[in-house]
Amino acid sequence: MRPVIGSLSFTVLLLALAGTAYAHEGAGVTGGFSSGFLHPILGWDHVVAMVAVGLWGAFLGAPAIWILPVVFPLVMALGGALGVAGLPVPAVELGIATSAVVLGLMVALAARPPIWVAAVIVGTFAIFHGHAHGTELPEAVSPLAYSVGFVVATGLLHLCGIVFGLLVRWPTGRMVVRAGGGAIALAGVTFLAGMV
Amino acid sequence: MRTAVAALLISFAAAAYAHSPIEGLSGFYTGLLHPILATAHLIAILSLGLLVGQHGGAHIRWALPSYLTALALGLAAAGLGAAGPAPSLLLMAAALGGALVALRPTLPPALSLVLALLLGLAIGLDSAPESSTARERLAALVGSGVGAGFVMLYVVGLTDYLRQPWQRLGVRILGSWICASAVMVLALSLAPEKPAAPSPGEAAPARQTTPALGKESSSRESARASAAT
Repeated sequence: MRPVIGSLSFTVLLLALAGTAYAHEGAGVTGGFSSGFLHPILGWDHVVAMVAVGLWGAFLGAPAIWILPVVFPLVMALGGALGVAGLPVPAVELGIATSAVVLGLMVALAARPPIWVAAVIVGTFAIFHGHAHGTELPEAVSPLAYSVGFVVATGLLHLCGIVFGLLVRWPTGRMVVRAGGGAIALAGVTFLAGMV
Repeated sequence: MRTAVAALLISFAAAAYAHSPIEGLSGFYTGLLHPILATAHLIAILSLGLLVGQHGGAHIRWALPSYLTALALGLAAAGLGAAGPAPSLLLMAAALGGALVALRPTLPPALSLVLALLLGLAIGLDSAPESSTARERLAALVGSGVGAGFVMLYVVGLTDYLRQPWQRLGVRILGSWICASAVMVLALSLAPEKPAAPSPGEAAPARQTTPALGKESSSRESARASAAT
């Protein structure tokens, strides 16, 4: 009898020490923020396009380097609001993949159009990206935390591109940045090919 | 056998949380953390703090006292049972403040004063505690006042301290992020509710007679709740 009691005690002790398993970790504000934060980061099409925005901004220099990161989230919010309201934007995924191709090419070709042209190009693609994030927002545990999460993540991806893009100050760095733009454009082509 | 029973009882024991909206905390500390944990409050305070700190000078001298006074009045009214503001009001304040920070137009200090008055009052009214005893409610109200007051002071002070061009740019980017986040949730809370799609095998007319309790409606409730809490 004593060995049985001993093993029973040991088993119960192990049960007492066991922690709770969270199959879907994160709820409330945390779940909303983390899911929103991860949404742009876990989609490669979003990642390369957002980095390309930062790269191009750094390539264009002032004032684009600060206009694009300020204006992009505002325009993206309009696209997000369209997605939230359920208003359709045609060919969203195609637009996102195309954004990687176009923005990557702009960096690779060292294109320096007038600032308003660059703003229109980036703003148009911001609508597609915002719409894609916005359609997910109503499903979030905490919509506001989700919204904050994906806006912050998008901004940090821009920052990655800007910091990398600062290499353009040096001739070798300029080549590296242009090569990065080419790689982004190629990635965009593969996204487009995946849709066909 | 006693060992087994004792261990069994220990395994069932859980932490005790006495009617606290934040597990393990009550009274003053619940109120203190409320402006930080309620995302709508936090981004609204951040947006006004960035705006006032960005303009500095007279804006700070006018806005801070009016914000703190309005906050105290709002908390007092909430303690007496006054109804809170519309949940989307804080989001609108955050969106407006964020946009002004991002675009940085030249603003008169009187505008900062008015925004500070409205926001302080709204946050105070929206911080009614759920505690059961009068003492805890009072402690939570005081905690909310201290929390919302100090967050604002820190944000204004830090923003005013940042004078380098790249730091000023960072402030504008933060304003842009706040505006974007608030606008999308405003769109969610203001968008007309749609009836949930009928599930397979369910007749559409029967669905129309039933209140929609699907994801659309629940998420909108969640959006409104997230703005309200």
